[in-house]
Amino acid sequence: MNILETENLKKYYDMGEIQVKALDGISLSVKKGEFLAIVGTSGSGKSTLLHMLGGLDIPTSGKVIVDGKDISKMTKDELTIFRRRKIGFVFQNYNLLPLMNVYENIVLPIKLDGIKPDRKYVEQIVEMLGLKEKKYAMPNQLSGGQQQRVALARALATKPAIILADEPTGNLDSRTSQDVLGLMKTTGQRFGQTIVMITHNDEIAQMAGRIIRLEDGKICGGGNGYAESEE
Amino acid sequence: MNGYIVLTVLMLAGCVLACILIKKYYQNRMEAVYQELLLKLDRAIGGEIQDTAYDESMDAAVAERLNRIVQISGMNQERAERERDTIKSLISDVSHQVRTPLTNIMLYVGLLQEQELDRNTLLLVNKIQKQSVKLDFFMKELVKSSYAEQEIISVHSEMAEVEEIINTACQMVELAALKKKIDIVKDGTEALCYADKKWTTEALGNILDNAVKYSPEASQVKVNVIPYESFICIQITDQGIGIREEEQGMVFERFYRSKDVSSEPGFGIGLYLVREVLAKQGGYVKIKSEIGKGTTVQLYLSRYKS
Repeated sequence: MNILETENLKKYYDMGEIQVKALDGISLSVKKGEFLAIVGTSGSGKSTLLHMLGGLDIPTSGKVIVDGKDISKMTKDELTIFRRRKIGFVFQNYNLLPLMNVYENIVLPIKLDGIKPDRKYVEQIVEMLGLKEKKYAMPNQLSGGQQQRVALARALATKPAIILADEPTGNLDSRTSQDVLGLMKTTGQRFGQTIVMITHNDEIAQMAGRIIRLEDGKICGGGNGYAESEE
Repeated sequence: MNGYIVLTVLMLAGCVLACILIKKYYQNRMEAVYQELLLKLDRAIGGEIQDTAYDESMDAAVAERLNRIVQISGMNQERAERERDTIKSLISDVSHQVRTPLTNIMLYVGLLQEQELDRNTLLLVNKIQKQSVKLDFFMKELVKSSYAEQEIISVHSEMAEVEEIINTACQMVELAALKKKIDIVKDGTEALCYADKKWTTEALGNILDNAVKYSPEASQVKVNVIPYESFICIQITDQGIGIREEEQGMVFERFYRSKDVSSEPGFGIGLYLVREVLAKQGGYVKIKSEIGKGTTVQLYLSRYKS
């Protein structure tokens, strides 16, 4: 089952006389539970693509279908709710709220949706990510790796359809990177969570089940082949 | 007259206020009901049977129905699993039972070879011996592949000593290594991991088996332990033939065998088994290799109970 699909996705920017083709006809599909890495150098369009997939930006043409719904047709308000319920984000700079402790940060997106958090499930995530002793610590008391683990817990807590990770280990040393990526992989396996990660680092991409290469806004390798799918 | 107007206005205002309050009250109650329902549904998705009160409330009726859905889907799943398990255990039983008489045949053939025989008979006996060795190998692989069916691997994780796992696994390949004069160098460690001892040893044994099988004589196989914050990494480095880059993702697939090793016996089960075992206990496996220079396999085991 495909949880995410794009059809001939294009994003053009007009810069005076010149037209910049940030994305030029991307068609890809992601199966449920897959761990996909999108690799490309800076300027290849990978961040633009991730923004499109997460409904943070509107494509020039083409479709983005998440969980059977075409999000390129949604209004701004619909998109906001859609993002909160269906997409979990993990950013390079963690984006934790500094005035809230670890636990409050994790359950924040659930509470924003007006729902009482399922304590049992959250506890399970906290334990899996080794944050049990840090539950009441503040973000500035944590190391970078721990902060990113909190961000991952926050993304998992809402049981989203997809987790989008934007250079999740960009600010971490290689040892901690391995640790965080490992947790991403194993928690993904455990909860059948679909993860799409972008990175410029080939070694990091090796952790994923499938790799797509992006160059000048086009897919130039990997594509829709499922040779390495994790099933 | 004025008094009446004021009174009426006040009464109207009072009515409106009362209406608003009542509406607010019901809204809050609805909200609470939905909240409760949402929580129940979430639990049902998780496959949990919930407590129901035996009264006439709608609440109890909904919970009752939800429980029935969970039970029915659980029952169907259980039945399917039971049927599959019966077949699996049949296969594994048969293959185990065939191996015993086979081992006996091999023993008797061995005894026969030691007798004084004429040339023709000896030739035939040797042929029988060769064929039974082949058959024995296939039976072994069949047993392994019946394990490799995901559901047969039932992992029971507990806190285990990494060193113990490494030592037992090394013993499994000691003889083969000795034959090829391969030196297995291993680190000492006091680390603990959360894993199933038996299956993890089996997995590590498979990796070491490959390392010995695909390494030249008198080379070295290194086993290091690298502690990470959430994982313990057991790293196995050999100086063997290596794996081509395009094949590095595929070697973990079931029944995949590289063309480069078609001369060596095997079914392509070993690494698949490794990946399944590790995934089931919250770990993963990574491979780095350069053709002709050697292969490094990293087994990541969880440090936390999960």
